[in-house]
Amino acid sequence: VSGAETAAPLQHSRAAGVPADTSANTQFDLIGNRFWIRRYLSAPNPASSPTVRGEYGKGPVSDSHVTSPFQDVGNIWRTLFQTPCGLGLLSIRTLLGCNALICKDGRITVPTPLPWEAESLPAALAVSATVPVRDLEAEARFKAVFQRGRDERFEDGMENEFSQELESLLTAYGSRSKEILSRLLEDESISEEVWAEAMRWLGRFDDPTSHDARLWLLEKGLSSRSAYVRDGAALGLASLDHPSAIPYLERAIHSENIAELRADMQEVLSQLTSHE
Amino acid sequence: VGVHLNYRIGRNMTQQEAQREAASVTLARELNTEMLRLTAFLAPSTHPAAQTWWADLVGAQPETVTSKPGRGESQEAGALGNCTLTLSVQPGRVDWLLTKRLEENVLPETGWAGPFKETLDLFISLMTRWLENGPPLVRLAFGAIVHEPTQDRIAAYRKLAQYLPDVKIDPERSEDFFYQINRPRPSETIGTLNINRLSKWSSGAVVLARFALTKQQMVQQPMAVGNHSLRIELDLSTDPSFVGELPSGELRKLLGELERLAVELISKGDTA
Repeated sequence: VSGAETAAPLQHSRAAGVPADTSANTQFDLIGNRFWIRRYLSAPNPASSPTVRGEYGKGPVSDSHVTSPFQDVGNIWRTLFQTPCGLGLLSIRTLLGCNALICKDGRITVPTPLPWEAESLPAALAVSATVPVRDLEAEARFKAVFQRGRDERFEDGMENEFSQELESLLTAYGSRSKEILSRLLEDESISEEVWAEAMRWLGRFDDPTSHDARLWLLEKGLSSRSAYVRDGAALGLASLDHPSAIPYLERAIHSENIAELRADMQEVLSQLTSHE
Repeated sequence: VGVHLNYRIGRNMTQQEAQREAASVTLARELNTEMLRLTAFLAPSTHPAAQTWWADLVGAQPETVTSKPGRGESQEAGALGNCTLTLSVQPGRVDWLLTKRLEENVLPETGWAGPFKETLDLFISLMTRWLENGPPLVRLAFGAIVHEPTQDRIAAYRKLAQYLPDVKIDPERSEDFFYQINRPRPSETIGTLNINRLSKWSSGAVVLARFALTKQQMVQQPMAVGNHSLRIELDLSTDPSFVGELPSGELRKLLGELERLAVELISKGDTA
């Protein structure tokens, strides 16, 4: 087993005329580790050795291993190329360095979930674990709620379908919501008005398991490029009423160039400092 | 092996002295690093979009850079000695990883980044430098995956039994063993902080294989079989319940504490 590519494999696949995103053509669940397959012929060179992006996730998922039968990899290979492969060496590795395959009973194991690869959520994941994992299913659920929110009309302080759905997801995912929502906060396809509404509700929800996550998101929202989001974050922090936001509010006030918003933030700051 | 069985903290020994002694015991063993990781959880005000951390730290440009600006993600990787150093930036977190360096068209003999002591020293010295000028953090974590070679699975299970005194293992008649436990401990660096000491214990065999592909089938031809090892995966992190930012002046010391706790776990096994 050999592999050497840390570069973005997608570019190679495009150069080789292979569809950039082939996952739709495979028969595999998308919960597993991403992987790349590179074919080495007798005289390997970049032109004749396309790297193909795939998804690798069928089979049992245990704590830090995603396994798949050898045959599955062969199936992906055939699905992607639809042509005879000929004899050659097959290299399988994850983006950040799956440098050995642990094989047992005819199965491949990719050790060590790493950022961008660990997109499954192992059942045995410890609460205290810091290994990066992405729960794509949860992300999709949150994103769908934000996208549906675009079609709603929000009225100040009134509950709506968006706020109810957001609350139920926050309750379901608790502290894990932080990483999911912090990704969505960077997602430019999500409306800033919807995010502003989300910020207001993040401060109002009464769910202790997601409290720290909501506080972190609101503090982060203060430095958003969008004035809508900054405004929503300030209102959310006023509702949450937690003193740890004080230094972030002070910084936000210092850098805020919209006078009205700056005054609103100042008011929230006064509220929080009055408890000290 | 006897060293580990007999190694215990003496009554008059401080925790730091015990950790230092544990380090000397650990470093005398044959241990190989699969991966070392530092994870920095960013303060809410941090936006590391235009950082040059990798180049600043290594003194050269990374070999590969992948960026997804619309999602706030980037990844840089390149050679660091015989290893690969990878920096992954995602919303809210930064991960540094040290793994084995793979050479184009060269079959690796093992999957290890190198001897544990060498890779640990290299990684910690780099990460200490990064933390000195790094972004404000709310949480810090140090991860390691370490292998200790054994003759076979049974030998690996016997070692596991020594490191896990509270677990009864039957080496001859059991398989697929996996044990995970977190034993939090108060930090010596920051009084109000707890440190999670998550450890995972298992054994495995590394097989290097060559695959022959045809249209109809794929044939695996094992090239080397039976490199069994005891696998220890550690995840030491400051507890997320800590309110506010970690004091920047203490980060270096905090990393040193995480390192010492990791070495202690590897040396002494699962103890309170």
